[in-house]
Amino acid sequence: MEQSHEQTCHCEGAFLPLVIARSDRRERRSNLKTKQGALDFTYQIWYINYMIPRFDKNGYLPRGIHKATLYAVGKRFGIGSQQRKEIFKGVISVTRLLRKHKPNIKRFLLNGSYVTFKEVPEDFDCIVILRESFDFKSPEAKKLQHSKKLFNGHVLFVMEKDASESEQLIDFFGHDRDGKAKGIVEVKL
Amino acid sequence: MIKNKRQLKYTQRRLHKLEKGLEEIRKKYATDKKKANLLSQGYKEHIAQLKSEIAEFESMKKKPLPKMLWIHDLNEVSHQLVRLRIARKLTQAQLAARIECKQSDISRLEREDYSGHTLGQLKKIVTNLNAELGIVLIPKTPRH
Repeated sequence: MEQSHEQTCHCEGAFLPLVIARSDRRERRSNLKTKQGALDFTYQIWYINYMIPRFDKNGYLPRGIHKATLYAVGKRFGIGSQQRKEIFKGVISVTRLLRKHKPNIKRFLLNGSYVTFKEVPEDFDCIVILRESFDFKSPEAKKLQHSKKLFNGHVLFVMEKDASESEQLIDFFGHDRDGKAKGIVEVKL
Repeated sequence: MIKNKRQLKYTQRRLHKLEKGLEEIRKKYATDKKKANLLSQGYKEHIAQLKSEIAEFESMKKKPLPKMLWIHDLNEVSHQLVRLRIARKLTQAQLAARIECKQSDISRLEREDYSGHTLGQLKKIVTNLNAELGIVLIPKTPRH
């Protein structure tokens, strides 16, 4: 991606930066050579950065599930203290493992103190909603089972068919001990 | 960290729900061991964490305080304040009444991620909790 430019859309209360990159020079040259004409540039939307909203007065994200890419999560939560940077490495590792089983994973939700204002969180917590086709015998599944030791993160797995259970867990992690609502981040795999 | 009885009850309720969920997983996937292991691992970790938090709160109420509560980092201020308050068997509201402020102010000062404590505030709270506040500056030996 040699040339890129940012387009930002300002909507009411929402800010959605959209990064569009032109295809690389070689591809453009080949397009220029085609009979279709010189204006036949192929644009690729290679990255959409979802907006993660601001923290509320309690230091939590607003109620609900906020979609974000891993890049956006890193930009927002993987900065500040050294601990946050270290934890983000764990988030990356877990995401990489999950990406290998992307079609078998419905949702990857980050929650807990890592997605709050807390400067030095201890670890990260996440919920992974699995489809029936997920291979439990795969080496990735084995690694994910020991995610606390390997990546300093609690990973809670729920089956898609156990909808009530996953809803209960989302509700569970969507509130703090005082019953105040806490936002959850859904990471795009 | 659990700071009051209401939070304790909430945590106990959560713990109960998680234990129930774990039992269900074990029953549901009894035939597939690998599946059951992966699905139950997260539950087990959370249950252990909640249990240790409950035990910590109970021990704070029962155990006598050490002679000195050291604060090595700004992140530890709120933790030690909670510890001292619970050891003195006071609620946030009772402490707030003593130092003539709102309960929400005490709650904010006891938040783990809060680091805006002033020396004046700390001194006021600590003296009302029948303790003394001391600041120790330890100069490091210069390297040659």
